[in-house]
Amino acid sequence: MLNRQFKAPKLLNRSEMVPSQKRSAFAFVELLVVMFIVVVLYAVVVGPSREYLQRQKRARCAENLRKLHLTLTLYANEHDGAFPSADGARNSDEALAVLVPKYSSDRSIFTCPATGHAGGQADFAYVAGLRKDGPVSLLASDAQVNAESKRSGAKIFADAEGARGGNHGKAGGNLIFIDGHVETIGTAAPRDLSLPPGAKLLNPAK
Amino acid sequence: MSLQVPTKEIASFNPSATRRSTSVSVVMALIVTLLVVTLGGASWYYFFGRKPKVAMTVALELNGDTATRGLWSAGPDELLLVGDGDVRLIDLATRKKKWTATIPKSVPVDAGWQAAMNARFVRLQQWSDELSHKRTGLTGEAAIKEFNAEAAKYHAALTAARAEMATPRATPPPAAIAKKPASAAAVPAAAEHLKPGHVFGSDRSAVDALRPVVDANVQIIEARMKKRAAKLQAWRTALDAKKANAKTPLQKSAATEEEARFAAELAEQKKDENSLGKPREKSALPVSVAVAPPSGENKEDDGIGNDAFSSDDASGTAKPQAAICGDRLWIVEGSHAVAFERSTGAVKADVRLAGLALRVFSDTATAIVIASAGAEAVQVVRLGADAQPQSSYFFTGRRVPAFSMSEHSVMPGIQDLRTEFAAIGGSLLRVEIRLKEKRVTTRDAIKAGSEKELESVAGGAAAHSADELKAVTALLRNDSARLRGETIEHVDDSTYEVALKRPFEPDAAEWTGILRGRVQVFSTPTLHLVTAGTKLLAFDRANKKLWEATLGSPLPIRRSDGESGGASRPWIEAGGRLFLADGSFLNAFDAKTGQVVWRLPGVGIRKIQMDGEGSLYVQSDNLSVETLAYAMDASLRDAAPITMRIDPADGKIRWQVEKYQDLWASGKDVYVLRETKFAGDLENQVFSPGRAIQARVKIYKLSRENGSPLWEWFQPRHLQAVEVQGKNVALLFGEELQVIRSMCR
Repeated sequence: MLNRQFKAPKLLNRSEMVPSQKRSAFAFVELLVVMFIVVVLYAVVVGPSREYLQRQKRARCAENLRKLHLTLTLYANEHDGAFPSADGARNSDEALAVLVPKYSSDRSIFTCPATGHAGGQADFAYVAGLRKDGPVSLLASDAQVNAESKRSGAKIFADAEGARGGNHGKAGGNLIFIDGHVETIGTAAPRDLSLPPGAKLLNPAK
Repeated sequence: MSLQVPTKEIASFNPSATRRSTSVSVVMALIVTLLVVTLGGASWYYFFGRKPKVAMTVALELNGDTATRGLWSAGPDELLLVGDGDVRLIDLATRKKKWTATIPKSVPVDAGWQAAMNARFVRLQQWSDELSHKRTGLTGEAAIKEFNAEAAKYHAALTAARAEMATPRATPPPAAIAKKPASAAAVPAAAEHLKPGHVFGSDRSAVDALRPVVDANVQIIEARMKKRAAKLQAWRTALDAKKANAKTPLQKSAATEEEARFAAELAEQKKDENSLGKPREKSALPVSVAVAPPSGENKEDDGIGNDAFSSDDASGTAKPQAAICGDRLWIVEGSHAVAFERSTGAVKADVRLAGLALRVFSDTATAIVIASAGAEAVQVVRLGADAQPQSSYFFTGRRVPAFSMSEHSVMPGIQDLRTEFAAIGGSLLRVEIRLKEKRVTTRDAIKAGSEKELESVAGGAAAHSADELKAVTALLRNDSARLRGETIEHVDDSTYEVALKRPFEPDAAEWTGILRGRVQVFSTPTLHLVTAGTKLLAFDRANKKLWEATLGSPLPIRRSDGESGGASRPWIEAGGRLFLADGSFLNAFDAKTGQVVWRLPGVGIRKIQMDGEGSLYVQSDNLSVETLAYAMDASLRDAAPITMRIDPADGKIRWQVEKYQDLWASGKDVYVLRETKFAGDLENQVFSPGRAIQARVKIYKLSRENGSPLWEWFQPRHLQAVEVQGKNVALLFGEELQVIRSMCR
């Protein structure tokens, strides 16, 4: 009877004495699963939304270029058809400064939303020395990799954001022509975009 | 026996300590009071002060005719409300009605007689113009004699016409009309006589012959109404007697029930009264046909109106317009203008017009009313505070819409002769626009390849996302436009000869010029402005051209500046500058020289307001620049509207906020409106109208500093008009006028 009632307590070893500490940790496999889920979620949610934002920025950039074209056309209407000339300007910002404030009090139309420069210096490249009634050629674009004429297939925009001519990174950039139409292209010139004689490509200030 | 003095108490009594403790108590009390006041003030501010409250309401008839209502600011802290046949002047300072007056009914006039008189006066005006022209070139005694004889004839004809006009022929009673048989052959004969060019006044047989043609339905309704009115009158008397004699609860209850039945019958009677107006419009058809333009034209209002005169002009169904002229408040409703005394509301004048009032201009002393006088003429009436009304008639050319949707495209309304009016106070400008060379350019209204862009957006967007929905909707709209063949837009690029004339200042020199593109005319406090294409011309009150400027693009074709109380004008003159939004820019010109101070690119700007501090607020539909070229491309029209605060000095945008649809600025305050639509509401309106929310309207007050909302006011009903005066916001709904006021913010 006594033997049955009395039971000596079982001695716990060290690991059994702190069981909660062990249970609170993630197993390596669990950690892997969580990381995998996070990566998948990131890929599913953040990836497309980044792409969507990029696309939106590019559309807004194109709209700013169209507004810039409006102001340039108005300038040309009041200057015998001539768009603003280079006239010693070292960059597009200096060349486009003649538009402020008589043709645009808002400098934000000179900027690309993708660069995050709100209302500051121009982000667009501008081809100075053209006429409104001249042949249809490139008038302005996102910042270009250099100030040279671009033949078909030549690199026109940089692959990386922040790099010279990389307003939209790998997404390429926008071009606006004298007649007001906008083309969204990749990082290389889709066709010959040579500058007409007397024209000068001005990139934004560094 | 000695006096026992409690030594302990004496020892503890210290006068200075008592004073100190009193001071401490006072200070403590003050602190507590201050705390309580501060906490109370803060609580009051949090719960009451920062939010708007209903300052006052004015009840209106629930089923009243909303088209006959209007709300205007009549001066500082004063509102003028017209509705249900009454005029009310409301004092916002005391939150009370100053007075209520009934608008007298205009005397119904025989439509045929009125049409004939209008045509007669137009001919007399033309005769007068011819005489004035002849007078300048008179040479020789014989010519002068001949001129004098003709002038005498003219004056005799004018006197006779005025005498006849002074005693208008009333609309004949239906019974009398019914006696005469309708004659179909009479209509073409009348049409011949009512043609412009025919001299009216001598032969009235054709006009008289028109009157027998009356809609039989009208007579039936009128007869029914008469019978019912007599019955209702008798019932009312009996019911009043019953109510007076009702003593027991049962009798009282029966009287109440009978009262409800009476009210229902009365409502039915009113419904019939309202419906009577509609068949009557039809009944006047023969007269309208005779003077109105051919069918297929004039289906839309071009801002001047296109109504032929009919007997229903007097029925008061037209939207009332107000002119605040010092101590006279003119209400122009239908075909008469009534002057009320500002202090008492007494009716001071009731001026009959030739037809429906089309536009009203006013300043502190004078009101000018342009009224229809047939399809191709107008009557211009100048109403002074005390002087007799001055009236002139002008042949204006047929009024057609600025543009119309034809079977395959948008067509501009090009006319051989068009007349526009603008006014600076009492100085009226009449602009005659004659077509010199017709030229219409065509362009694609839908962007080529836009479907590819949309398909790409729809393909790239997440399934069932808002982007996908937008793109698909735009695709469908474009396809639908293509199916209808509406892919081409025609633009008026014609050349016009424009003449500026002053009807009330005959000595003012006439200005004439040639302009290209559709001509639009409007006025600011100091300038008369004429635009055509991308040209803007400014004139003074003497028709002298002050300056000329270039616009970024032509002004969108809009209604005249006399409409909607001028609230939606995309131009304003203030501080020596003219701010004007054309199709693509907000321009700031020096009002004296026309020099451009600055321009702000922006497509779709439709309202400019300036607050009491001189800040400029702009409401824009924020359209894409491409909408300037592709008028119908649905893919270019889904931008969120924006509200901007702009520095008038340099044109810089101080802040801009999205989503609001309308804007009002007054004093130091700026208010915006947002109306949203829920699909569930639309469903309820169809399946359970009793539960359906009419509208979801929110009025916001914005911070002047950053455009963030300070408070919002939600109302689940349709808003008809808004008038803002500083911290008071008057909202006109179907059944009431509600004035809200925020005390602190």
